[in-house]
Amino acid sequence: MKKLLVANRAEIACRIFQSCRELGYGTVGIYVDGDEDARHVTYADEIFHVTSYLDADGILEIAKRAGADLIHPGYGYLSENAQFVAKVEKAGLVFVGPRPDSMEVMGSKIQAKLLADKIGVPNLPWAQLKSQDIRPDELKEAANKVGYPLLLKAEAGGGGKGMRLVQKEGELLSGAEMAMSEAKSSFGNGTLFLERYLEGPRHIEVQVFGDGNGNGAHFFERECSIQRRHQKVWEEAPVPNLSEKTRRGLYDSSLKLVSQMKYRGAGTCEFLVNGDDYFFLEMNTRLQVEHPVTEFVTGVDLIRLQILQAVGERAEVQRPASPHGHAIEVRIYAEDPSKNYLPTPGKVEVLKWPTGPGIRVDSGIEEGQRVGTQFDPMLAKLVVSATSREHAIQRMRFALDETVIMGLGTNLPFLRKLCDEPAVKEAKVDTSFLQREYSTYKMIAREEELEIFSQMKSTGRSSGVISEKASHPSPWERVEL
Amino acid sequence: MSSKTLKISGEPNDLSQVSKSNWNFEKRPGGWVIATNEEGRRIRFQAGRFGQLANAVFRGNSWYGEFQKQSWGAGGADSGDEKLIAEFPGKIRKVLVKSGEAVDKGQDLVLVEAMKMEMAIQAPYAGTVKKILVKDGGQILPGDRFLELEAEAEKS
Repeated sequence: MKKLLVANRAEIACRIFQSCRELGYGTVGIYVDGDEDARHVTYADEIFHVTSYLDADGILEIAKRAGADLIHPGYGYLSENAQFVAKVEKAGLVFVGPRPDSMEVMGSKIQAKLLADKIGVPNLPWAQLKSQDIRPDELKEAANKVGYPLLLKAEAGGGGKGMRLVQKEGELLSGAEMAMSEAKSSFGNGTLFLERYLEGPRHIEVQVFGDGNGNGAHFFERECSIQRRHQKVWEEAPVPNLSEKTRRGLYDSSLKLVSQMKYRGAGTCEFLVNGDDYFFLEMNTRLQVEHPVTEFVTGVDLIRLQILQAVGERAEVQRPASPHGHAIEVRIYAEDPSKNYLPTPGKVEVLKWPTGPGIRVDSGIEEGQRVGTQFDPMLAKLVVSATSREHAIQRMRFALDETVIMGLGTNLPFLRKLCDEPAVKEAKVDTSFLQREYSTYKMIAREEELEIFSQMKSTGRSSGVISEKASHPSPWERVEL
Repeated sequence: MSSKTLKISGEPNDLSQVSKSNWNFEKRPGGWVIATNEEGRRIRFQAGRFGQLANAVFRGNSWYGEFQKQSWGAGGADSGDEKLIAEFPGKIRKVLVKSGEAVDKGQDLVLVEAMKMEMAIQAPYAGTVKKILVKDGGQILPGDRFLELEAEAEKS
């Protein structure tokens, strides 16, 4: 029996375990201090303690000790770490994911842009700066080529660091000086490049799968524009309000990248879309959080596909000619939208998920589990699908109404509000929308609810004139009937 | 007359002003509660009180916040009951009292190790230990309640 170790945690670990179990593989999980209670720890067939989810050597040791044949990195953590892949393969294990060279190319912003330029994939207007010192003439020339407004970005940068927005020429020199010194101090490398800045573009991505020999397929696209501070909240497949020409262009460009790189496995090509124009942003050489919406509209199990490819089995990929119906995913976070989305740690006292046709829950939590602030606050993903987008939104409304999470604060009321938001219903949302309209969100109390609160007895012992049922225990007390 | 305030989702709601209809509550399996009023309006919801935390989930609205009610605890906003709730993460070194035990104000109830220090959680008022919610060696997170302490009746 084959064994697969998941070098990850929470909902994605549980998701990968499912595909493994369906294939009859043994599952090996890992956990760090603070994750003892986690759902994926209970769920794994075998579980091992590690010091960190980034401890490549430690995790590899565990994999060898447990006799694992494969390692799946999930997303984040070690999933795009070329050195880790090399170590895994050197140890004779199989890494479920792309080859290290793909990670290296796409991990460098400049390498990725150069590749796109080479094969005719549209980039945002951009320019490289050759020197690590400020050369005003070179700067000005590059800026004129790129156009304003523009972003000065560090080649070695990431996580929003080493970026500077320049609105006009007057700000260019000082902006470059600051960006360069920040890049030198943060990354030890002051090389910058310039990139045209788009105000409120749409973020649209294409799911691809390559066979490693230059052939590949796409699994249609996803709309991910509903994001707050670069954190996605609501994703959909397929993308509404998009011209067929642009859609074709996105597919073509994605497949060009797969072909050129002889890309192996699952990946996502991300683009910024402005009207009918689209520009390559980056490629993620791993599985993405929002893969469920693609799975819903294509009927494909992407993780199963990844695993079968990794073990050398020819997987029958049957992708429909066009997406079936419409799928929406929302991310449930332990945060309070009314307090600037502050994390709300606590214990999951009560947990109830909606069920029914077209409803899928990818959960990382169990009832009784403590949620701290040590990890990403995403608790679960709630995904729905239906034959039309309109029905999918109705279904999401239903599913959110039926979700009960008590013991900690969540963004559920905010997600629920999005179902009624006109811009969402009309699919007119761009990446600036949430920051503008929902920088904070306070749930609206219904008078009935306040009335009910005022009349709910706090303990079963008090008598009331409210009704003859007042002798029953109070609604606040959760006792067995 | 005692004022009823429900501080939920960060803000106090003066419930004495809200009372248009009378609600009847029926508990259903699975923790569901069905509230009906005289006009036949029917609302299904879930509610729970977990230590100092109150949660209520109605269709589309999730209420999350503190629960302060006159009839529970020593009464009033500054009952001292909040001292029985962990403010930072830590570990229980030892529980010093038993359920049903009478304690004096200031008596050490639980020894806790937190922030590299050892400290004692003391009784904010005299009373009887009702329910101990932690155990020796257990981990605690901010918001976790150590125990429920029922105040001694006021001596006149």
